[in-house]
Amino acid sequence: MGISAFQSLELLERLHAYDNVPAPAVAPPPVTWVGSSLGIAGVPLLIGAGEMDELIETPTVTTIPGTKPWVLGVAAYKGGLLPIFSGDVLFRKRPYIGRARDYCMVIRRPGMYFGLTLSHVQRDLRFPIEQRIMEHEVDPDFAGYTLGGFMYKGEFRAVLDIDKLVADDELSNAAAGKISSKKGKSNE
Amino acid sequence: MNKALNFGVPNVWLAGMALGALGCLAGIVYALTKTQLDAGTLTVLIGAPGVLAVALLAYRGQRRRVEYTEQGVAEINRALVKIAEGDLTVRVPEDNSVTRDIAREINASTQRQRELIRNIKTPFKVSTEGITKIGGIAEGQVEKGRELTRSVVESTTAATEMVRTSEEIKRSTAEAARTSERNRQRVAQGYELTKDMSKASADVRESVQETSKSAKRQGELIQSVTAAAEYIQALNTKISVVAINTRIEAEKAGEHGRPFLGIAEAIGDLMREAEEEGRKIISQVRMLQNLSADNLSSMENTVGTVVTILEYIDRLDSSLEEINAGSSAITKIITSVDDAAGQSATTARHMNSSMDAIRERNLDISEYSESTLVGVSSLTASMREVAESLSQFRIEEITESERTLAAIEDLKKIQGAKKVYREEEMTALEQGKVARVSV
Repeated sequence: MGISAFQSLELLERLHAYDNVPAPAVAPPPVTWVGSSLGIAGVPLLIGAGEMDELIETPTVTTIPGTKPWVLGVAAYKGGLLPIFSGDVLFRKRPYIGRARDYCMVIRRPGMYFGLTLSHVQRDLRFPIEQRIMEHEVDPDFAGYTLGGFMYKGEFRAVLDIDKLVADDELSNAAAGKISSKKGKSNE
Repeated sequence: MNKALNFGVPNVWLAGMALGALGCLAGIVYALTKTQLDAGTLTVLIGAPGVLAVALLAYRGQRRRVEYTEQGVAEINRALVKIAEGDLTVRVPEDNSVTRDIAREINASTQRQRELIRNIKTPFKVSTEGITKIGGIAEGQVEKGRELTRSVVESTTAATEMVRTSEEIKRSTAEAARTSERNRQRVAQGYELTKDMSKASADVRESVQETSKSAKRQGELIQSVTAAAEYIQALNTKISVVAINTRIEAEKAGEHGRPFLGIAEAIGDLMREAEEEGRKIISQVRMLQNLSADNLSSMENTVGTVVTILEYIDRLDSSLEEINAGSSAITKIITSVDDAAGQSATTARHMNSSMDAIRERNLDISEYSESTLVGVSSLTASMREVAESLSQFRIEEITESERTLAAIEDLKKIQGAKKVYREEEMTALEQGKVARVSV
């Protein structure tokens, strides 16, 4: 009477065990950095996964008087109000008159919920974590809000640290000062 | 002196006669004293001296008359001798009674001869001067004839040169006419070529304009393709946004969202390829757009250039027409110059023939003038001889100063010889005489 298939497999296992051939070691999956490639004020940046809440098309905003120039206004979004900030004015600290920004990213942090306009949106990128470069020259306007970066197609892309951005005093107070109120928006 | 002798002869005679008388008387006295003579003898002795004295006196008178006559004859002879020598100024004294008439006639004769010679000399002198002038004129004629011969020879040479030049001009004008005709034909060919070029340029312009229209249409299509590519790029961006939001939502969903995470990553991979291809498409379409714009601009430039070429061709056409007209005019001018050169050559030949005839006539005239000169020279010599012969007749008393002036005049005549030509001048004249110019 012949042996069954399971018996054949068991026999095969025994033969391999007899030959004492070690099983191939499974390499641990590489630790990768995952994020989205996008741009603010024309500067290509990387936003890590989980740093932004979502990407939306820039909604129609209602101007809020007495706010700083980088506050475009407030938009109705998902049944609530979403402040929309201009990434160009916020980082460049000068008025922006250019092509309308089509997209903005929604940042949600404790006590902070706003949308920041983007100059362009590329896609998600994945980099090996060991390729992160912590010391590299970055645009001066963004140098204080980045944490290293990766080389992509010969170009350095800084990683925007949303926590640093949120912790900035300038962003935490959107109310216009005396000078801003005089030169910027007003109730009139 | 002879007169002194004449005056001494009677004294001698008187002394002789006195001595004879005295001798006779002495003889008579001696005879008387010594001898006895008879009367006859005494008469003879006394009468004989008387007779002798008378005879002596008669002889003496006769002798004196003879001597007187001989003196007159001698004077006449001397005058005749001088007259024979040509001295008509001699005057025979008329105080001798014996020869007075003869002397008077001789003097009258010499007077008439002097007047006759004087009457001959005056017109003869005038004739001599006239012949001398004629001789000078004939000599001048000979000289002028030689100069005229030289001038005619030079004119003949010049006419020959003119004929040769006219023939060269004729040949040159013929060549120029042929060249001008060839140029006119070439201009006509160029005129036809410009017409062909104008037509071809017009065709090129139309073709380029058609191509330009096509290029414009092509540019519009490229523009729409670019818009489509940009729209696709915008769609890609929207898809990327969807993929990113999908990843974010999948991560929010945790384990349940893992399939969506895979979908988001798959979309991201697709978007990477689509992004690269889309970027290539947009880049290439924009490059194509730029090339199309460049081509369009180039074609517009080509059209402008063709238009300019057409303008140039029109100008060239006008210029060729003007050149053609100018060539025709030049051909006519060359033809007229050719005719004029031919006529000039013919005229020069006629002038040459006339110059030959003139030269021959002039040679004849020169020969005649030379003959005249020779005749005048011989006539002058004859006249000079006659003058010299006449001058032998002295009709007036001349002073020493006049003799000196006459000698000077003779010397002047000797110095006034004909012009002596140098050897080369004579050679040139001889050659000029025989020079015949053939045309």
